[in-house]
Amino acid sequence: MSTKVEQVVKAILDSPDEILHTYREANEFYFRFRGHTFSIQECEPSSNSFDREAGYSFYVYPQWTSSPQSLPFAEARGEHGTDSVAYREGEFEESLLQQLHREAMSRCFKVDAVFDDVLGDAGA
Amino acid sequence: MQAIWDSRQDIVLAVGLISNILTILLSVIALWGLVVKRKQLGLAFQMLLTSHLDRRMTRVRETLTRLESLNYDKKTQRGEVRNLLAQLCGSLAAISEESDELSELVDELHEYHHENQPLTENNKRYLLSKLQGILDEIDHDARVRVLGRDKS
Repeated sequence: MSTKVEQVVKAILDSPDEILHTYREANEFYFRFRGHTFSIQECEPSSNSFDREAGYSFYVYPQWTSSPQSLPFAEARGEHGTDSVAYREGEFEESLLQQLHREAMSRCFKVDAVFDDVLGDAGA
Repeated sequence: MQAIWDSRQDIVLAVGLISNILTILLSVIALWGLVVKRKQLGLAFQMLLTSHLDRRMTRVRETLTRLESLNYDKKTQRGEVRNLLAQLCGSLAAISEESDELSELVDELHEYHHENQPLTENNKRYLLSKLQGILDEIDHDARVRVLGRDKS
């Protein structure tokens, strides 16, 4: 049986059109989904074997109500409301976070518009 | 009583005379120094300026070393990277008149700090290596100035 957070990630993947206001900062994509703020980060493993951030991480920001775009800067400054809960790759079914990362990235870079355009041209 | 008063006046006159002679002597030495040892004095002044610049450069390089050891891709290190960039911005502003390139770079850093431009680890590395190059150039120019040779 999957955990609650896994169900949330699956819900996001089931309704990618509801991933809104995507914003990229470094290797992390911030977004809103059904009124709540989340982010997905992909981190290259470093030489440090105790690197906790290596791989994919999913963050939930329960108190953040402003736009995801202003979140990374507020986070860097340690402002109020930026507290997050982190979930690491190992806590999810294989490749679930990888799929979410790709989905958030596609939404951020508007890949769908490119595909629609290409398919539209091909159809014409 | 009159004799004591007269001897005291003599002493005051003698002291005044000695101090005037010393003032004249020192003025002559100073003028001689300015005329004859002009180059050496200029060099000493230039070295004083360079040591001041050196202290500032050392502080900037220390911040650079710390920044290089951090990774902006690590969420937990982002706050410190942005704070250090702000610190760098302040330190560089004091020496930005040394080079037009440095002045441009300070403006660029300012955008990242004050206008919340998105930053990546690659951007950070690019900015730091560019800054290293500019600092090396400023360092070199300062040494050339002290040696009294024009850069051609």
